[in-house]
Amino acid sequence: MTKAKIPFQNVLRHRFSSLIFILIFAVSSFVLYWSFGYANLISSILNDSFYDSYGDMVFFTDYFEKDKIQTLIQDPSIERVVLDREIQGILENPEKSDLVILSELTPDNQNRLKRYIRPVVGTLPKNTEDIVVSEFLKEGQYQLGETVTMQISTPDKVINAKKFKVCGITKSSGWKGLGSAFLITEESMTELLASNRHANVISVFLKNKNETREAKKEIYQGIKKTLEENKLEIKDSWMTYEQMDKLASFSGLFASVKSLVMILFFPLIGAVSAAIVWMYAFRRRKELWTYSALGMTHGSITVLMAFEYWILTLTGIITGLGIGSFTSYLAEKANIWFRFSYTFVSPLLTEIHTGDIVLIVMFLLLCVTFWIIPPLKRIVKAPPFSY
Amino acid sequence: MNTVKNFIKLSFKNIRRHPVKNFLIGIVIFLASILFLFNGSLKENAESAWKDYFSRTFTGDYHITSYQGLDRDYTLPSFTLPRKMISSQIIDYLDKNQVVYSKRIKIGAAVYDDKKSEFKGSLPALIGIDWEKELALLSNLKIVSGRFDPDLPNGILVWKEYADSLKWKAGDEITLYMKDTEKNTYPYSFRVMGIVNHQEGASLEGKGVIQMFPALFVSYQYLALQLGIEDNQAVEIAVWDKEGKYEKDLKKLAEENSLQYFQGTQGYGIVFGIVELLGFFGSSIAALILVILVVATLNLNMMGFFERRKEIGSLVAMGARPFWLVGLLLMEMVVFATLVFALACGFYFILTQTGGKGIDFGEMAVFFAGKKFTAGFELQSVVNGYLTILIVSFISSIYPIYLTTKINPVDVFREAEI
Repeated sequence: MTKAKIPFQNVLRHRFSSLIFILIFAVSSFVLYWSFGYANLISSILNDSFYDSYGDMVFFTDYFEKDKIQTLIQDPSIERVVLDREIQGILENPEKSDLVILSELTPDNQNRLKRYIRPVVGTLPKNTEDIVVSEFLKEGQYQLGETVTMQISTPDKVINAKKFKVCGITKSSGWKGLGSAFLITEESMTELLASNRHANVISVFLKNKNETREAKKEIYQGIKKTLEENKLEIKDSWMTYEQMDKLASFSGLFASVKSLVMILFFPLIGAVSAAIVWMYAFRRRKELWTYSALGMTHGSITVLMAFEYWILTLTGIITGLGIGSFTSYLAEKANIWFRFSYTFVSPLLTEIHTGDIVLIVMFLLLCVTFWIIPPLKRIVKAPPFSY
Repeated sequence: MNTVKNFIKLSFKNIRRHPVKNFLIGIVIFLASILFLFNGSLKENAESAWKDYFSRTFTGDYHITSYQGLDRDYTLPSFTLPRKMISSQIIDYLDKNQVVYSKRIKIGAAVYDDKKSEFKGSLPALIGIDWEKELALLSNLKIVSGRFDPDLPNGILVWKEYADSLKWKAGDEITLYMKDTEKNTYPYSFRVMGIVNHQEGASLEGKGVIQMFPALFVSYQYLALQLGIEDNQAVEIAVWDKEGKYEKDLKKLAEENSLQYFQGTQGYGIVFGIVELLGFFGSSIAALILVILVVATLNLNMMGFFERRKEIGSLVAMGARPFWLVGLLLMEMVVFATLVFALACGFYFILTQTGGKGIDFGEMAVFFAGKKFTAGFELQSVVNGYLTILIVSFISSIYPIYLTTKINPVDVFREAEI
């Protein structure tokens, strides 16, 4: 019991060195928190964004009548079929004109896409004249409050136009319109199309998200055949796993971040902590030799000292993770986004799982144990009072 | 001179005197240095590979455009022509110096499906070029189906990946909506005379979710006539100047005329983003290492100061001025950082020599335009890496050095208060 007290007493007695050691591990665990959290976030965005936007498979078609399609697509593996409207049209104002994809925000897809659609300026559309501009492909081209006119072709092949006011600017729209869709309300889309009976996007959500590729393909081919038999032209269609295959390189890159950081940090933090332990233990060599003179074995002294450093490491880790969590909360509130041209855009957030916390703690404890034992042993093994 | 020599001698002695501490800190500096060198090489490989690719496939060595901001982009071109054209001052300069260049008109065109009365896909970049000149200069382009017919005024060559996405083939008649100089949008008919692709380079087909190179090549004269652009005027200038002999002057002229100068990668935002992303990864990891290095070396310098109080106190007692003490400590740090950095450079050099013909990154080769990665020394990253490590070492020494200048030799040697 007395032995267990010594490390705690030493932590308090050597305040300066304890503080430095805590600082090193607080910084390290903070860095690991953000590296792991950000890598997780990107991996999950890459894995989930297609699904959240369009389910397990999607069919972009000519306009169809919603009621008819709901009765046509029936399969016991299907959980639900979502019928949306996503249209292309010319957006004009006196300064410029553009070909853009316009998508409706329904309560259902808004809920699925809330993590991607977070306006950096303004709000999501509430009124029929509101439009949210995605900057994913059009950075800096539209301003809040700007008035634009959208021209589209209705299901009845009539050209219709409607004025909108930019009420918000978002960096992404999930995969709606490849991240570049401009967003309006459901009512607004109905006004623009002069119909609420028609839609042109069929998203299919399966009961089992982890269904095999073969099973998914079979359902996909079945739906495709049904639509073709009913003379509904499919402009484009795909299964979510096909799109994810295209992003496999990026996915691999982010998935490797955790391993890469740990490979780098092992010698880095290790060397730093070993140097510090060497310096401090050297200064405290009289104390260590006194333990030895009092009959403690070399092993016991090493464990005693190591225990002191484990306490400091754990304190540092808790501090670092706490700061990491707090800064992540602040970053979420600040709604900061990273952008690399239009190749890649993502919010500056973290997504940390319990497994990551355990991994960080275990990794740093292992690292400190591996690197501090040799310098401690070297000092302990020197003949007592040998200077 | 003698003082510096003595400082260096003392520094070497002191470095040798603390082998364990210096070895361990050396590991951190070594890792950071290697990372700086490797990161520089990664970025350079990506930039030069893509620059070479664009130079021979689409844009020439560099471009001057009258488009503003991101409207310059070739993947997501602007639907509207710029307000002004390339100034005659630039064209005169190019002619006077006999620079190899080509006038271009570039505009985003909306593909229209006549049968269904609707627009299809995103806007491709319709590029009006001087056939004779550019088909020879764009040496990486080859016609993979159909043939080039100079007598077909509205004939276009379509980039293969884009043609495949719209199921276009040679001989097809297509309709494109464009905005002319009067800002009126009209439909124009073109005939696909051929499908073009690159001879070598990264296959980006299916890599992304948008068409990266939606390029349609058409005759400059024909496009100028259709859009109402006066003869000899241009929206863009593509320059072939591999040595960069005229680059500086043209950059300056572009700036004076409120035009944009850019190289191929900056004209393809998606590729520019890839290169930026690669740089960001490397820089972030290097920055993280530097933060840890600052904290660690600050602490070790502090410890070093406490350990050497008697040594420093003796020097002060013997008449050493604060300036000398600061100089000695700084010199020790500079010598140590230089030694480790040189060692890292040597190690990295051996690595580059054992790399052979380069490393194939497989799927990730898209970062290097499909080429192999060849690790090399970049002067810029060597200089940046060395300076950063010195600056980091300086930052971590400020407080310990301050303490050194305030030292009182009497206090240092006092055993106890009576």
